[in-house]
Amino acid sequence: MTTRLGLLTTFWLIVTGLLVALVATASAGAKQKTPEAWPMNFALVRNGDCKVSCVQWISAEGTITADTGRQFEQFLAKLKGQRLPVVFQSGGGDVASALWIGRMIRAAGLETAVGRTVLNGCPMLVPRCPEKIVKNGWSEGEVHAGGAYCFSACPFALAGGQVRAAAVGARIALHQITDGSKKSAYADGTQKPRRNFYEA
Amino acid sequence: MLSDYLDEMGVRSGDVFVMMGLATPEGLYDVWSAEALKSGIITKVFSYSDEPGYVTGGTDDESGDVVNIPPEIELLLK
Repeated sequence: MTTRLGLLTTFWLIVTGLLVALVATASAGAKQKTPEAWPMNFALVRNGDCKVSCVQWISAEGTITADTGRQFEQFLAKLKGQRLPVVFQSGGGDVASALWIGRMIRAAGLETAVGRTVLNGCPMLVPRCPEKIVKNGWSEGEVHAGGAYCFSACPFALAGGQVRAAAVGARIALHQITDGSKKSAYADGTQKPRRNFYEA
Repeated sequence: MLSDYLDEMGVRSGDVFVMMGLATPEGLYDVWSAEALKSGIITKVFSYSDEPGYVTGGTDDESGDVVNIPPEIELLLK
């Protein structure tokens, strides 16, 4: 009888332990952000050894936060006047910060594009992995225009480019700007959109 | 604030606000290449597989006309 009770207790202890581990794993998974949700960062990337020719660009990917503008200002200062295209892939974020970035890009006379950067040696599911970004130097990789995206506040930063480009297969998307209460000037009926803007 | 910024950047703010208004309150409005070109959100279009730098179409600097664009985009502009 005592042996049976002991076995039962052990069994329930194992089950409880497994449940706790499962809940902890699920919770960590939910908290872990996907690369698209990481705060935007900037990287100097090149394709080729640049002895004869190469492609060089500033890769800007991730969510635009309130601090992104300041980070971009510091990044630009390090370039010392080098005029490289800024290649965006972002789901958007802070509008004021996006406008600040756009103004800095215009003031520096840079071009912009929608594109996704794939760094050499990164896993397929995290093609711009942080461990391959070289701080204060050049990362090696490729840039692809097709399949890249620029949503929400990202097109406002993109607009800063003197020349701004996107591929036919890239996605640019806008949405209504709300005050956080999920209501917009359009949604609450105070402003009606013109459907035929080609005739404007 | 936003309209001032867009005007400053040479983007047609009216067009952008219309497209924003066409999005559902919780969703996104996908901007077609033709719309992006016409509104000034972009000034050049790459063909699907090329890398940035290889331009296949865009706006003429002098006339402002959209030139050399891929046929599928040209159809949308008509």
